[in-house]
Amino acid sequence: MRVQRREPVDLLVRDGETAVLLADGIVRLSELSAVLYDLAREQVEVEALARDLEERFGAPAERTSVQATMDAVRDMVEAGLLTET
Amino acid sequence: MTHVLRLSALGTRLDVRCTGERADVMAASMQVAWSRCLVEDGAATPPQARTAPPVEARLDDADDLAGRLMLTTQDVTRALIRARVGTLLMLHAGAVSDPVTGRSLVYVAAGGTGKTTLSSRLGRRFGYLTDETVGVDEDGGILPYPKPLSVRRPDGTGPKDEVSPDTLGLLPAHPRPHVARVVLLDRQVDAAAHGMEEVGFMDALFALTEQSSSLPSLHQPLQRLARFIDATGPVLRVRYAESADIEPDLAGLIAGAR
Repeated sequence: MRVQRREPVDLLVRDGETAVLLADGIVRLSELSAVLYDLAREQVEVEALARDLEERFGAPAERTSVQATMDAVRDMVEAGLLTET
Repeated sequence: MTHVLRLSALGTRLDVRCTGERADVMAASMQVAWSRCLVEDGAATPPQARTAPPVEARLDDADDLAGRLMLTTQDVTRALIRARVGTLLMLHAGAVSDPVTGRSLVYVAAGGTGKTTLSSRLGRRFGYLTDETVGVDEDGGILPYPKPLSVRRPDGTGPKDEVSPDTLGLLPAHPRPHVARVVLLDRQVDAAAHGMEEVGFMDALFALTEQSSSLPSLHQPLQRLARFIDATGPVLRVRYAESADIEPDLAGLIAGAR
């Protein structure tokens, strides 16, 4: 699965939290989601995202990195932040 | 015959064209209800003022007057907001100003949650700016929209009545009002106690975004909203049941307390 982010109207980072304004709403991102959103500026495979996130945040406790990343990606697609390409 | 009323609000000129069999009744009622927004004949248009397309207010049956007045208020509000898209930070909020200093309190809330009631109360002590839409420029100045207050009837039925702030005895606004504080109204009719609490920056950003109009059309909208919060914050959440309970606290905010 390949994804790419929808370009924000604006983005604001304050005190470790990120707000992304899209044309149709505003979304709050966790630190991990904010990194994922940044990594998806260009089209990218979920597996590549998972490797990058594991390097930065370590491996998740009870799932593989790919499974955890896939869940996060699906949530962000649903929120309109990412699109499948 | 068409009767034309020239209005000025949110830094925008707008004509309301009263038409129909009872255009005369419509125009006369509009003259009263929109007393604070009327532009006198021959008045020059300020250089910075925008112009919105005219709004038509048609009345054929005088029995429909209240409903037509209410709908016309909604049409005027939409037209003014459209005219200021991309220039003003516009919030679903009421506002009043200190008549001497211009320090203004902006109270943000969704429709039907107390803005008009609070405006009609605070406006007897502070200058009435609006009960509907607060337009803020880059410098924190408020462009008043002293529209008629849309007052729900006691039995809750029928259209709201459009009542002039002059009829209600509300004070005129300071000539250059500016935002001093922002509160989020949280009216709970069964609230046991009232109170105010600070809202974290990000929560305030989201709350204000959700109660804004056409925010994405502004240049770097979140940065602008962030500057607005930083300049006037912290944003406060006000929980209350009756507006009388919170009036002293809100008056204190306008005076500069807290």
